[in-house]
Amino acid sequence: MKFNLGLKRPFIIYLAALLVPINWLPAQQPTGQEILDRINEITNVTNSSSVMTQTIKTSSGQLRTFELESYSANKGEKTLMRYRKPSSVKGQAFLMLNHADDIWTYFPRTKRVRKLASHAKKQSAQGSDFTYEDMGGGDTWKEEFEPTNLGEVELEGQSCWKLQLDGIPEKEPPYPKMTIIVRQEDYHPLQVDYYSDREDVMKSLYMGDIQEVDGIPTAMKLTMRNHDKATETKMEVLSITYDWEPPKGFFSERNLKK
Amino acid sequence: MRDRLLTAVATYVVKRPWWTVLWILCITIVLGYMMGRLFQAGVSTEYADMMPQDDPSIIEFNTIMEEYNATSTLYMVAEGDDQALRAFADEVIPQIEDMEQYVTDVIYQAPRDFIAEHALMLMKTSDLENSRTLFEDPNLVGFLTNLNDSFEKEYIQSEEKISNLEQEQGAVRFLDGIQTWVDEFDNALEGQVEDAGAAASEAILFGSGYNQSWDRRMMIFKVMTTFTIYDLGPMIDCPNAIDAIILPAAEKHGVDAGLTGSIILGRDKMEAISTDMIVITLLAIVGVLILFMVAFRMIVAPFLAIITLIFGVVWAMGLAWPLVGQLNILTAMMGAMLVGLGIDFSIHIIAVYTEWRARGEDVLTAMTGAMTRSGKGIITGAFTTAIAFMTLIFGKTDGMRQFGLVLGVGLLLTMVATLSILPTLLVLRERFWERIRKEAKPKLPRDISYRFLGSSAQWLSQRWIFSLVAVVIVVGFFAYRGFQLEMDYDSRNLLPKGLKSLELQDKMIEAFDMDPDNAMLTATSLEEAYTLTEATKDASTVGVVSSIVDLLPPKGEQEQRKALVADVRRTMARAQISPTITRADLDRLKAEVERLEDNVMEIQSMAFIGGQDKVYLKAGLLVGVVPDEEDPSMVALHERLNPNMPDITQGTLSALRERLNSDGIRSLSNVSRFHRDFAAAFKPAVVGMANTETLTVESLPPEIRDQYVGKSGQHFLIYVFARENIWNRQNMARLVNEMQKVSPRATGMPIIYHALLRGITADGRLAMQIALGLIFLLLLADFKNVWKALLAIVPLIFGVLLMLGVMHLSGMMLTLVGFYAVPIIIGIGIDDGVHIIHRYNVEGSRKHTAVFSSTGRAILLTSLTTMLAFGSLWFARFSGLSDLGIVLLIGVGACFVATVLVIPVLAGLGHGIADRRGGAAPETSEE
Repeated sequence: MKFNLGLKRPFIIYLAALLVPINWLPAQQPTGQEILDRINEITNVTNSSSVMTQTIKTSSGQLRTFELESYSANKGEKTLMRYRKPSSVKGQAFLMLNHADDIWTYFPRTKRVRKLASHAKKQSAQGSDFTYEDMGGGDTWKEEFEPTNLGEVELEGQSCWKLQLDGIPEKEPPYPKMTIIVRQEDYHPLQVDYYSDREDVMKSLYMGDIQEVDGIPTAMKLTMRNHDKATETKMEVLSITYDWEPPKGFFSERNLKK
Repeated sequence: MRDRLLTAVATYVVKRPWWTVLWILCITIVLGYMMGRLFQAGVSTEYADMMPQDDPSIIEFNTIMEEYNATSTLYMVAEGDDQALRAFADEVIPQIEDMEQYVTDVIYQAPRDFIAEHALMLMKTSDLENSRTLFEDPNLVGFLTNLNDSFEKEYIQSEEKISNLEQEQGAVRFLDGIQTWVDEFDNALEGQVEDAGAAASEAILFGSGYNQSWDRRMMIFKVMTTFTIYDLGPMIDCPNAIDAIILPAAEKHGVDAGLTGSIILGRDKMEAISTDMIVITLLAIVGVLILFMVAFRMIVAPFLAIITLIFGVVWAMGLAWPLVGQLNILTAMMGAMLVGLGIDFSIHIIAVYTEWRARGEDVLTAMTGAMTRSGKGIITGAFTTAIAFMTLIFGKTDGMRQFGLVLGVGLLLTMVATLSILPTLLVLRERFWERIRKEAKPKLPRDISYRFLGSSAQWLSQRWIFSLVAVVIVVGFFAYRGFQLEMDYDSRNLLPKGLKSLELQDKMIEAFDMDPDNAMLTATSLEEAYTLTEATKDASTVGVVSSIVDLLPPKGEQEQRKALVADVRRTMARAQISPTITRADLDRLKAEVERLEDNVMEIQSMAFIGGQDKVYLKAGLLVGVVPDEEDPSMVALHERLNPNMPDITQGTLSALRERLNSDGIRSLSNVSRFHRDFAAAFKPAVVGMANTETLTVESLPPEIRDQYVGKSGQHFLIYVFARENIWNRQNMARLVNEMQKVSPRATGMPIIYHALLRGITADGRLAMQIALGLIFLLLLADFKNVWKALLAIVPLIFGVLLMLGVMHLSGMMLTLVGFYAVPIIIGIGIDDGVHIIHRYNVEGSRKHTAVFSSTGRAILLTSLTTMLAFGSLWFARFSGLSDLGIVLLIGVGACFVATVLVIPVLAGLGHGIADRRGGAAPETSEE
């Protein structure tokens, strides 16, 4: 009598399958929430101090490059940016508190500090294609969006996850939808697409030259391209450290004037 | 049949040459008259004329032209010193306004009287709420305090105020008012108190009075015309009449002035084309004549060919009149093109006729031989070329259709002229020589053949494997490069070079961010006008929207504003004007001037960071700038201030503040007078502006209605000015896309030109496919052999690929006009192959040396003459035609090269295959 398992293929094949090491199997796909948590860990570092350049296109069609120092604390809740070059705006500074809900600016020529209106948060930050809100950081993405992992994609030869963030209407998100492509290697975003109301990609943020700084992967080059206006703003990090503690009163109107 | 017909023609011409002359003259008189009528109709230079008239954008464009009085606008641009510009404007504007035959109005400022009565009702409710304090106190100190409060409040409330083009322009205008206020105040301190206060009030409330650039070194005036861009007569006469007024006045006042805009560019194009049409045709004729003489080493025969050609061109142009009625940018050059194409027919006839006469044949035999040997090829070639052109008739763009029709029919007429006139002239020449040289032995024409062409064809055919690989590699490389060729979307690159109107237009765009080539939308009700205006303002590609909405707010909004406006009116009417300025007032005034300086500096800083250069520079005139010698871009930016500022660190407002401080109490009397005059003018003006009367279409001034409201009063026009240069391909596509989303009826230059480009591209592809198909069928009918038909058509395809590759390698782009070269090349390029295959039929398929030595010479010469004729377009002032000439020059050359390289190789391939299959016994090789 034949031993019949009711199988058409040899038993050995099934046995071999059971013996395959577990790490040979495809990686389990993380959930959207897990990816977003990992992104937040990387991009929302507690404190940072950096020097960077920002290049914009003026209304005359010329490129204008600024050099500025930027300080951030409490996972982006507080930010201070101060211009170093060119001379026309040297010393001009912006202080953003409460994730850019409150913005002050200091003018060195008049030595006056002025507060910008609360709705300025959604407006272009200093002539760039970023809004103050884009720079605000924090848990905005986690709080105002519903994440979904759209699966594995490849970008610039790197295996990535594509994450879709759908805005939660009652939270009044800055964009109705976003997609983020993150490296599987370290969950650092490589590309963020911001959607307009029309469901079209309004602008995209491209992050490149990712280097390890103080143990944290950091994009040294960022380009925000506005597809509607055909403009782009480039930012390049010249130096950065996360090993920085803000002195007491650093994020204050008084320090803004220094 | 063709043989019989051609033999009959040859016989008739040889036996009855004078009868033929009579027929030719009769036909020429009729067609010559028709050509005169065609010339009288002029040349249309409008791209709209080249579009299908049933295209929605054209229907809308034509409706606008009929419905609105002021859609056709000339722009007068003047550059120079501010005072000189004002004197110039004061002199010329009344004179231009008096030209009632052509001009309905000259617009150089906002409608002052209308604004004086309704300004506050035109302000947005939120703006009015924010700045109402500005209109509460007419006293100098109070006004300045309120101005600063408003500035700071405004600034805090909305950082976005200077964040786009329209708002940037608004900021510049506001700062301009401040600049005049400062200048007048300074004049008063200087002792020139007369009118200073009133002028300062006027500047704050109404602006400078002219439409000036930020630095006041340029003015523009809109001249609204009584005619449209379709009226060719006034299109030339009106600008010339205005030039006669402004040019002497400009010289007198030391300013540089001129006209620009679509009408002026149209005039300049027309003048350039009219000159080009004659000069280029003559240049082509002379060039071809010289080449003919050199190549054939003859004098009389080339003249006869040219005379034939001139008759052919007259016939073709005559028939063009009933076909199209008017020439356009491209059909205007049909003369030069027909010279290039038509001369080929004569070359083929003269080549064979002279060969036969050189062999000692009599006139009748030689003529019959020439007609039958060359005639068939000429007829096939003419029909294939004409078919290639006439396939354009299937296109959608009128420009393409007219071009195909006129050139196709014209070519057939030129062929008929060649087959009838040239033999007649050749016969008459023989008779003439017979009569005057009865005794002398007639000088027989020489046989001139190019053996090198024959030898190389033989060599290629014998080494066909190697040659085939080489040809495929070379053509593949050029094809690869050719497919990367890009389209040039900038219509301005088609215009004549060095046009002052174009230079002025570029300056105008730079100074005012305003390209006269705007898009237009129409609304059939005021409500739709409001909706479309708002939707247009939301479009990311739009810089400025000019609409009736700016001067006629929705009724609901007007009702909302009435209470506020009435309040302002009451407050201002009750305001008391202080008779004098006290010491305490003077101290407050100094503090407020200093505060104003701070506010302007802060606006300047935000503008700099925001990339709003004009606001930055305008503010710089008031408060100076921080110099930066290390950054070249900053040095270049600051240099733009030099003509207005001896010291760029010191602006007029800063100087006023210093002066008030240094003059101290001594200035009290002059300040008091300035204050009284200012307040006395400011108070009634604001009261007048705070008029709560409901605005309707009827209350608008006529010049505004002409611009925005249709003749029926039921249609409203919205002008849309792009944020970026629309002649950049992506910018144009995005603008057109957004405008068509806002309204499918969107029209205007960018929309029409974009549609024209797409239409021509689609038409060109369609025509190319149909032409290749029809030509192949015609070749099949002619040769009755698929292989021979392929043999004739392959060099054409390779030639076109070579042409595109060479264009890309030489850095060229395909322009709108250059695109027309593709069907032309298909039409011409096929001829080379046709003649070679016909000669193979006569000589035998392996007689490469004989075929290419003789017919190769003929196609070399026809190619050279065609290249010369088309190459003469290179010298056209009209850049589009110049580009077309270069493309055709390359294309014809490429087709010739492809023919002499590819046909022998393919013939060798055919024989090689036949030999291996053991087919028919090979014909005897010559060598």
